[in-house]
Amino acid sequence: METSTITSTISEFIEREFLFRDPDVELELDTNLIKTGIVDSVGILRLVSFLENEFDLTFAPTEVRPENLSSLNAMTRFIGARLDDRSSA
Amino acid sequence: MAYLLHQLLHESAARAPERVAVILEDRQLRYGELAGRANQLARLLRRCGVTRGDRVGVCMSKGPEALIALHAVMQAGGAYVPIDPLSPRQRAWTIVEDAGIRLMLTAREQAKRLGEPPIEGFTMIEVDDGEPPAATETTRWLGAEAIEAEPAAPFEAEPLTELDLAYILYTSGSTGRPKGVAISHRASLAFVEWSVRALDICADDRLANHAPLHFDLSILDLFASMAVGATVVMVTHALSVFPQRLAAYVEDQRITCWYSVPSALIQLSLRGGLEPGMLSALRIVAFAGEVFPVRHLRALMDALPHPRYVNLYGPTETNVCTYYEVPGRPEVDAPPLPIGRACEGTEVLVVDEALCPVADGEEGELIVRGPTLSAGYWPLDGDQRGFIERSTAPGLGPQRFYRTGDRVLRSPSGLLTFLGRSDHMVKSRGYRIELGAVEATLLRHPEVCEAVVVPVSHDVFGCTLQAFVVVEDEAQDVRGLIAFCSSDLPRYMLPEIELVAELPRTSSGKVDRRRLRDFAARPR
Repeated sequence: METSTITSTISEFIEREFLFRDPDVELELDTNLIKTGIVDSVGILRLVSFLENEFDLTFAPTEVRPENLSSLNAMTRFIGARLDDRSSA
Repeated sequence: MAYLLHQLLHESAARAPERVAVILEDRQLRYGELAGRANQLARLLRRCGVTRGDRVGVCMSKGPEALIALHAVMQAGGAYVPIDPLSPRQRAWTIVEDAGIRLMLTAREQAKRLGEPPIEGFTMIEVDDGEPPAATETTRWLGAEAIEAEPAAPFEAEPLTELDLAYILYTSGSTGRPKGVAISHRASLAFVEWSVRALDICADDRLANHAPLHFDLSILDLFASMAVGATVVMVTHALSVFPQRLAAYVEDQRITCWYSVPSALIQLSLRGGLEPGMLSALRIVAFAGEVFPVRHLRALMDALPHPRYVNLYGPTETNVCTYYEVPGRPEVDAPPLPIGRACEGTEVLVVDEALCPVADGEEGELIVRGPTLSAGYWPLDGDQRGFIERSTAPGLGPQRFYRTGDRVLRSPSGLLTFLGRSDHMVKSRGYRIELGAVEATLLRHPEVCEAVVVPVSHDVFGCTLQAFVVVEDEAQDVRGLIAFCSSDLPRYMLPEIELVAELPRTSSGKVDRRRLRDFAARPR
């Protein structure tokens, strides 16, 4: 899958499920979703669930961390790497 | 001896200035430095015109600067009003207006989010900004340089008494408008002193501060620490989103005392990756704000068997008024934890509708009397419903009580158990939510004819909110309604919305909330 496709899939989900709840914040590729409060402890579970279903993969508990989830860029990197692993396996 | 909340810091600083007062991740301040910085900022606040009784907004994320800000406001003679840095802009300014705030302490990031103050003659102080914005017609901006220009020597602005307000905490009001609970220095200190004794807090303790600054749980973390010269280790909300990270932080920081809502502890237990031997420094786990399901408490106590576990109960209007120390891991089929007995120095009664005490074993409303009671809702000459006067003994004049609106039962042994609310208030992740406030917001939308919000039970968070809405125009969509609510309500009060053609009613014509609750709880 193209990186840009991964990014846009995730960004659409966030716009739809999270961002329209937050009129004051702009979503950029490197916006920290957690520090800005867009995604909180309830939201992170929904986000992980969405990513698992959408990209057909499973997050190990240790993979649920800021490096992999805090921004669109972070998620794109993480998902991209997992998809690459899968296709080369 | 301290009779004002901010004196705790200065007394501890005089005794042991080199002890660490506050930590946030890799930054820390010692007591001496914290005291000096509070003196500087207090002087600047006075120079800006803050006088006794003024309310000063504090909209900052967790960190040493926030702790400096709280102390500086009190030292300048004001009451601090913490404003959630994540709250929608509109709600933040509503609170500012309600409290009559004309000066806000903030940081660059939060200032950007807040935007231009919609109030004339306003002062914004960005404590971390070397280059604050230029003044506008309505707003004066100050930054870090202005603070640093002030001397750090001890500073007392003007004499205050223990009845002066220390802070005002805004909670959800029933009409949707946030309601300010005003707490005096005396009430706050009475609580802090109780908590130090009840939990044996000492200088070697390292207390986590998980709760946001606008939550009264933070009072224990911050000021019990200051009282004994202990260290408060602040926890950002961002860290709480990742329980494994949080567990590692609690471990690395050797936290000895943790106080939070149950849902944070449940997340830690379910997803924190806790292993035997971890968090060995933890000796107190205290929780408040919502019911801690026995199933989850057992799991947590299995993972962390060594600390004391204490259930603290009390609305913002009284801070903690009863407590219960868990004697041992509860059985699988154990009933919900009791809320225990009145805190030393506090009196609680279980009363009927006539406000007369009921017999043990009979259900009634919990009312509270004692030194930790709030001075009332802001403004203090406004509606004070919930605060009543009644005589407690023949010959004694009327005493001031607070009606909690909670239904409880006292057992023959004297232990109180919580049965439920009398009204439409629910707890979600420890946040107090008036269902009526969410409904009122929805009803303000031009297309909404009817709106009812019901709680849906949630295993970890207590509950989530489900709204059933009847609209005029079929074309009106849910997203539009949520966007409308978002500018008014904090995130934790945003409901799931289902559009319906009509609402079910009881035989008396009232909306059948029970049916809606059952419907909302159905598996999807």
